[in-house]
Amino acid sequence: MDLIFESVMNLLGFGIGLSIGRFAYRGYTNVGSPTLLRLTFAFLSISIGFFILWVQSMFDIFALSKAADVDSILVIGLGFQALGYFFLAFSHSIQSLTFKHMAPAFALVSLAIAPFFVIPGNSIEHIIRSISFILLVYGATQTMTSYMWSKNRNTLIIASGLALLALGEFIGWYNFIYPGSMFYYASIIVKIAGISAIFVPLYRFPMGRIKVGSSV
Amino acid sequence: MAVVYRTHVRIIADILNTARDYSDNGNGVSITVLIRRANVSYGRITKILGRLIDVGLLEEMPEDKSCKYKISERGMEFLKVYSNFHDFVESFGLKI
Repeated sequence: MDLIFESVMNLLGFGIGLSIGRFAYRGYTNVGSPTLLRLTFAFLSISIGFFILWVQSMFDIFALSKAADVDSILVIGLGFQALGYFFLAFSHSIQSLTFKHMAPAFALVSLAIAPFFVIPGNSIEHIIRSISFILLVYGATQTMTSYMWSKNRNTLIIASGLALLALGEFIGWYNFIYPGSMFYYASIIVKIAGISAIFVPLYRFPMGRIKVGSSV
Repeated sequence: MAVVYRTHVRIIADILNTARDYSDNGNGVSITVLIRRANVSYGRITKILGRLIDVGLLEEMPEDKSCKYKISERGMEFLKVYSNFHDFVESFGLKI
């Protein structure tokens, strides 16, 4: 039952990520903005990550765990998600052109390397989770800062979504301390809540076909 | 106060907005008005105008000594789509 729930949640995350990624790509092909291209890469990577995690849960459901290295599949899925979070954080850092604005990003990335040295016997999964956490905290903070300036309600909802994704990664990392507990499922639920929160303000945009022609 | 740079897409939208809003009775707008209102240098705007005419977002309307620029139907459509995606990107706290 738990495995079915996990697979449904991952499939939901895949669908939502794909919808946002497709919309951003449509924007890129019409408007030609590099920001939209970075958002496309971000959400398609997150979506692929959820899909790979769904494949992993399928292996577990059909008891094919012995036929494939499910731990490696999990790491690949989390890796794709971390790549997506990187593109989100990168979109913010690239728009802050001065070193003064880039400094917090460098500090946070440096912190992300810390788990390599702090936790003895750690696995790649937990290192990826901690990197994802740092990137998401950075993205959420930058988005919240933008909200302070713009007072745009949608920006606040997206900042909350990113914060929930960060919390989900944190809870998932906590599973390292208490393996096999409810933390893993709680992590998935919080992550899906986060990506759904990102989708909510985007729902009002026309997700259907938009075509102007070649981009400028 | 930090200097805020406009992106290339933003400059294009500013040029098209100017061409739409300052058009002289539907006869288009001169390059001088575009330079002043969209705040783009002559050297840069000539390159951008050439590209916008090539992709059909602007129409060139030759006159005696100079020429005027008029936004096309496709240009109007572009501005509408741009507005949608501008809001989308702004929701993430980013600039298009």
